[in-house]
Amino acid sequence: MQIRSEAEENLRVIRSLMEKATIYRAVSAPAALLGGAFSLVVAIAGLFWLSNPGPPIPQDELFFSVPWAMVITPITASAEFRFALSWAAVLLVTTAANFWLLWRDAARRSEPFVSPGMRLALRAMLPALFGGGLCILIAGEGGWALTATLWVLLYGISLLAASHFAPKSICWLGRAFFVAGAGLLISNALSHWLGGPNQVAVAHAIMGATFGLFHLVYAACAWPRPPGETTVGGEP
Amino acid sequence: MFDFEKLDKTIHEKGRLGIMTLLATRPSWSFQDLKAELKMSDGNLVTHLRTLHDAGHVAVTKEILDRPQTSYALTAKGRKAFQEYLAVLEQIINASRPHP
Repeated sequence: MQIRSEAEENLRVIRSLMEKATIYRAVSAPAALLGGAFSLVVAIAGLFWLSNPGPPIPQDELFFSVPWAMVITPITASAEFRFALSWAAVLLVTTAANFWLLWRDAARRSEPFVSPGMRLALRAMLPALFGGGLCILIAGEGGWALTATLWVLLYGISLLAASHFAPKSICWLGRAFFVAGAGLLISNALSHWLGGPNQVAVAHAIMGATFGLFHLVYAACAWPRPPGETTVGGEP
Repeated sequence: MFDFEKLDKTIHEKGRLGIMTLLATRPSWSFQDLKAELKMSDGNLVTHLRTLHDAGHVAVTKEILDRPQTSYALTAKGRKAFQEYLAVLEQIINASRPHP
């Protein structure tokens, strides 16, 4: 009976250590490089082109257009629509690339794509990411710059939620997003600068500086390094 | 009757079992991370790592990044030995389970 309780105790120790030590990199370095570079390009395009309102549409052109175009054309010409569309494209491409890279890494290690680590990461990160998605509902009233700030803050919170099983670089990325988001919100509370007339340009700048630059720095820090010298046997 | 000789005595010791378990979770662990996770003294950890290394269960990698760093990983032999050890623990529990 004693050996059985010892075996059970050892299995308990093993299980608890394994749960504590499970590490999962939810954002791969190449995906961060792609996402960061794409974000910077979109932010620069947004600052110089996308945030300017489109040219006025001649009334006679609208009159002769088909009805759906009369509704759609003014919307697509708006800086807000272009902001939402361009950043939705960044999100889509980067997420797809990240999942593809995670799938490739899992296949190389002969592990399932939806591993216990991924399930753990999704459970921890999804509530804050879903909250970020909901922020789009207040963009019309609150403004896009404030919405972008909330995205930065909630993305930081989602990364920090995974920090107990994520590598240190992810924790630092989460901290950087959290501090940037919180700082922007506090400064806005003091001077209301996020709600100005050029708020779409400000929103592009916020997205570029955080989702662009922060991810590029993360990619540089988390990029896999070549292994060092390995010895088996002899002195450790 | 269960044959207790099947239990790998190198792994069965509590400190070394902790090291083997952690090494099984990631491709490699630095000395500092192992020490922090297991809350062991330097001397104790070095002694256990040396025992596992001598048994061929653990590989050591010495790298110079911004400063010298030693990291440890399970060898193929070590991973197999750990899996066998787990299987033996399961056998013990199953063997002593009362029959319906």
